[in-house]
Amino acid sequence: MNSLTFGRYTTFNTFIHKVDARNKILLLILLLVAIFLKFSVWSTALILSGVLFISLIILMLISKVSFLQLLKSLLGMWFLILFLLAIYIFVPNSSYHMLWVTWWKINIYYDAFFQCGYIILRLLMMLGLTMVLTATTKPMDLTHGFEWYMTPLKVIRFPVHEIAMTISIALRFIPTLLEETERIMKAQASRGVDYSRGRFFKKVRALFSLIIPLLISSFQRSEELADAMEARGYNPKEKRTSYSKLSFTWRDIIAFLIGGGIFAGVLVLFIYDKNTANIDLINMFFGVSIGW
Amino acid sequence: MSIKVSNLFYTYAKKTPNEHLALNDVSLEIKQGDFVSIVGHTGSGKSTLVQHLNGLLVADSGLIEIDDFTVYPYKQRRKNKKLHSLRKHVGVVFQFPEYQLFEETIVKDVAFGPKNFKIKEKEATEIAKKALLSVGIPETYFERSPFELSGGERRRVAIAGIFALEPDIVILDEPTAGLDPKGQEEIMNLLVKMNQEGKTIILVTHDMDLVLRYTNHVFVLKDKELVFSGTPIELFSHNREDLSIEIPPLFTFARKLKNRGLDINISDIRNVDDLFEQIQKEKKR
Ligand SMILES: Nc1ncnc2c1ncn2[C@@H]1O[C@H](COP(=O)(O)OP(=O)(O)O)[C@@H](O)[C@H]1O
Ligand SMILES: [Mg+2]
Repeated sequence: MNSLTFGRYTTFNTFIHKVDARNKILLLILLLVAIFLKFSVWSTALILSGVLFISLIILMLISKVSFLQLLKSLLGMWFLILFLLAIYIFVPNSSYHMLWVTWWKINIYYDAFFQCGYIILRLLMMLGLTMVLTATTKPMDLTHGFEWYMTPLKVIRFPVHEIAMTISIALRFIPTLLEETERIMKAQASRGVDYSRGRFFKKVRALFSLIIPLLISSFQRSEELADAMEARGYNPKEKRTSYSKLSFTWRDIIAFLIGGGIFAGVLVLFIYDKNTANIDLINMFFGVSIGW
Repeated sequence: MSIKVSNLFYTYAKKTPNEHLALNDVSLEIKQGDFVSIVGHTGSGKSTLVQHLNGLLVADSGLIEIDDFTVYPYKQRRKNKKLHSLRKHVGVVFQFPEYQLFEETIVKDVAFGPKNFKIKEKEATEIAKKALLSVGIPETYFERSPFELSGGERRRVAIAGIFALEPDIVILDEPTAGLDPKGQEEIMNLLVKMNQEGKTIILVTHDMDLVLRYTNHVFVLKDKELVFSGTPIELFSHNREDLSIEIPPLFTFARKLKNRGLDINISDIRNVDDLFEQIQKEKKR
């Protein structure tokens, strides 16, 4: 159950929790771009990733999101990691040049491991950033934030509000569904269901005894909710006001300056790298060149 | 089978911001063949307590001994190997059990429990039919889908699903909530019958009339703690405002009669008929 709670909204009241949802969404996108910008010199890429990674750790400390759990989520990705590693090792790549061993005429390069580690690091950072967003922002605020960004689409008759309402209802019912799942699992366990043991067929049967009641009560719930909304005069076409107002404060300015600053720094280096080719940070600062 | 609970502590959502203590040092004993009730305000921990009795929840600390089964607390949970067979002996009917039905027909659904305890299909079906009849579901319903039934009927099917396990201890969490008086009465009569067959019954309820009428021992939970253990008469005889218990009107009425000089024996009065009998006896004298 613990892994499910990772990234779920926490009721702490940290600095990051108080930053406006729209601001956090924008910064998340900017920082994701910064993470995935590609640099041509290895040492530069590593240094920048290191800087971003340390920033992420600081961010997680401030917002009280568990770093340990982020690392643990790596274990859950072991299959993906192996898969990536296999691709990097066995798909020939002309840019590799540090040979490790040769097995049955297949050249295995150190570069493959570096590349793989690098991509995993970036995936991990992506995951961590997203978790910070979802753990510090109420789902409702998050949807309001997205709705705000999509408002221009209303011009082309895109049903922005309806979609936002659907999403916020879905989000609202996630904890309810989890509770319901737990309740039904307990009820069926009382009837002798053992979800962890037993042969395959028995497990499928056990799963049925959970999923069917869950589906039925969900349908029932959604029907009741629709009725209740209609009874209270809900009309999706109507203009609506919102109970929770999104608002910008001094915190948003600070958060934006820091987050935007990191993004701008990486972006400037990236453009410089593309135009004048191959900046080597180590060479720039220390005057030595580590050739790989 | 007798139950002994000692120094039970339980916390929900441990080590999260929503951490919440639900049971605080609860100890109690229930004898074989008792018909006991557990009462208390919503949120006082009743459901949490009963879920410990068949190992659905594992305590932070404290022990539960049921005959030769012992449920160890979380730190020693590796020793909890027989929980599965414990559940055959201790049947728990959850609050709103009608939401646990899932099979195509009622009979199949009730037979699901016994089959999980390695009883053969044919025998399980027989047991299921017997359990359904005992809760008052007629044979013409057996092949129907549980989702075609009314709420009350579904509740009874779900209860039959636990009875079909033929447990020695039956625990029911507010089984009569939301049922009409007739449905309530049927379920209670069924429990009395099972109790007479020697089964221990534990009833979680808000209804003090049921407590007075049917049970021989009552536990009161208040704010995560056990604050009273004794007979219903003992409970109602004192001013129980501190326990936030509502004394049944019948009991208050009988006590007023006695205070005005009618010589009746309050501890024998469980329902209106008892009171009626006593008043008549008094009149004849
Ligand atoms: N799954 C759960 N997660 C967190 N808290 C819970 C959960 N279930 C119950 N609680 C809390 O524990 C306390 C006791 O609940 P419960 O045992 O259901 O009370 P009762 O059955 O007496 O109404 C309540 O305050 C309730 O909010
Ligand atoms: Mg309850």
